[in-house]
Amino acid sequence: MNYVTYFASTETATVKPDLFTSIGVDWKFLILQTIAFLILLWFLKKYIYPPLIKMLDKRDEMIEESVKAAHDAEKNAAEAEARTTKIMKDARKQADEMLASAKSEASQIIDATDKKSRERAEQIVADAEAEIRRDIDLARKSLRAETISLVAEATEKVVRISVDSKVDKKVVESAIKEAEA
Amino acid sequence: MTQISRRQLASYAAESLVAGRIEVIDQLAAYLVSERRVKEADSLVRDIEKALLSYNTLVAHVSSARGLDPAQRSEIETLLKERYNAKQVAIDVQTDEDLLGGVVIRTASDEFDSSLRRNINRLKAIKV
Repeated sequence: MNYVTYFASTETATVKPDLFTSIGVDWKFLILQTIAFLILLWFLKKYIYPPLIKMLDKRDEMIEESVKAAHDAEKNAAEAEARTTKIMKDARKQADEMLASAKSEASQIIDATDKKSRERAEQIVADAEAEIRRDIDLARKSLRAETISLVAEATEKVVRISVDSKVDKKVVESAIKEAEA
Repeated sequence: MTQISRRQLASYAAESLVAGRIEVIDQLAAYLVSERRVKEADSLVRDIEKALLSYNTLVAHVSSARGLDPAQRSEIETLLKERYNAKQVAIDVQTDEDLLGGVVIRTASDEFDSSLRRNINRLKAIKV
């Protein structure tokens, strides 16, 4: 029997009021609704809730994982920042050391170059002085030789003019005496 | 034919000259020409002069700018006799104006140069 015929039959039947009827509750309808509700509840529990709960759990897990990942990322970022800070500090320290070393080496190179240049300049001056002394010595010798040559030539000319027979005789006699001695 | 050495020729010539055989000079000249040894003439003369020393005869070549007067010649002769213990001295006097003054005496073994030319040459040769 379907519900339509049931409700029709109920309209036409003799009404005997009871407790449920007096408070406006149709107990049969209530049972049916309860059964329908239970069926609905069973259906939901069987087919709807599990995937829904599963999906919600999965979402919770994803959220937790995301939170955890965010936390890890934050932690990693903090660690990375700390490492970066340390690396930067070490690099700065190393750069400072290299700069100091470079300055020291540059200073040493400049000192060495300066010393070498000074020595070279002193050597050049000494060489020049020695060369000048040699040139003066050579010029002096040349002048002396030239003077002697001029004196010899002048002497020869004077002798040619001044030595006559009388002088020559004395020279010869002097030579003979010298030979005898 | 064996070639006669220059020393042998000089010894022979000296002996002949001391003996007064002056023609030996011509013979020697002829010999040098025939033997084609003319180039040895100067050396032979020096050798003869050396050989004459063994006969107490000295040959001296004396050069001066204006010649020698007899007194100077005599003095030189005396000097050479004493020095070389020679009994006889032959002096060959030559005039060389380039000597300027003084005298140069050359013997077979020695040379005595007191010329003014020598003194001037010594002055020129002074090392500086």
